[in-house]
Amino acid sequence: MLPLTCVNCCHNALQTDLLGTTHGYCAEHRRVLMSPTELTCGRLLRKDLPLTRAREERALHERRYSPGAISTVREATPVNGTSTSSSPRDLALLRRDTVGDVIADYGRLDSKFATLAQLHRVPGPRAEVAMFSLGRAYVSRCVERKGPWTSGLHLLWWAKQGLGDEPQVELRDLRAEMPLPPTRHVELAKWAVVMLRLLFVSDVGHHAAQGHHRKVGALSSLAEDAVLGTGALDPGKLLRWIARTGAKRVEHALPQRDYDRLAVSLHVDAD
Amino acid sequence: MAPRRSEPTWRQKADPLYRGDDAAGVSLPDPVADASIVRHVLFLGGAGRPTPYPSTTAARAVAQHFAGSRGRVFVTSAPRAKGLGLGYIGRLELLKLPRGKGYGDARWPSAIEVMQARR
Repeated sequence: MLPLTCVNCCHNALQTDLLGTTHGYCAEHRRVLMSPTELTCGRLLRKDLPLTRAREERALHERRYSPGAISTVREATPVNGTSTSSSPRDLALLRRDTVGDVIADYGRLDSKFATLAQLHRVPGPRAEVAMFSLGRAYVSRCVERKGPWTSGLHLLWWAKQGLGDEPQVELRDLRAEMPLPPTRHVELAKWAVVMLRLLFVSDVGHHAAQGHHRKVGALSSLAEDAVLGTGALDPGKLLRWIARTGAKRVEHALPQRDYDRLAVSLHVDAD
Repeated sequence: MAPRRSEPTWRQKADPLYRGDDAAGVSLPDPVADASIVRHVLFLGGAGRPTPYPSTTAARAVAQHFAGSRGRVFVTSAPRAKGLGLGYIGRLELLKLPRGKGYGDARWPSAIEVMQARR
């Protein structure tokens, strides 16, 4: 049931099924997750699914699991302090992790976007996973609250800048024992990181299309087209597709001058 | 130097199959449920959704991964399952299906979801 657990939720920025820490952290409930493979809640926004499907599944999930409490995935019963923690000592330990230190402040600073901007400056695949996991949830929620699609503009620009970069996944980044050769485990983790990038871009494309921005809206199918264009769980193929096709589509959708103009209008709206 | 032994190949007729599931027991398949493999593998439709597939694996470690810390690993075999009226789809055969937008029971409108199921 791993796809239905906190491990696979955008609000848990510390983990994917293959990569990250042993313990998770829920930015919604603000708790360290001691057994994230056994936990879930009604706010689950799945990392592995395109936006429309992720939202449909969240609606179904909420019928069984309360959004107000973290529950066991099997029994759907709210958990007590044996499975999650908000103790100062455990949060202090979280903060000793570079990524954990940043996400522990998500929602505590002036804006959630400040945390996302900090994650952009932290190198490594775990920070990238954190940024785009939380980013997907952040933009989706902004739009659901009638905000503009441009709430994801800067994240989209950062995604564009790093779109074709190979994630530097090392053994130390891998989570969970898997009966796979380590090289294959690393490859699958790299594929998942690049796919999360593409899913984020597609999310923003989807929101832009709903907001009648035709150019960025054309990116809503980017992730789907990448999978159709590569047909394999091969990060090298995915990155070559991006170099050949994907990057050009994103450049066409959001060239520098459009980004500058939209960024200025965002700034004006914020004022 | 002695020649290196490769790991033995799993034998469908002789070797066990494992399933990680709830400690209380194996979730029962529903023979009339939606036969989509993608729906089954990705748990689309949510927890408790009916599925005609009781997934198993030749690797106990994989079953343990799915069982988690609170579940249990159950053991069966392909001949035993067939004897109880279940069909058996082997891993190699299964991996042929989720490509592109899927073939056969893996046919699905989203290539991303097919690929995630394959992963």
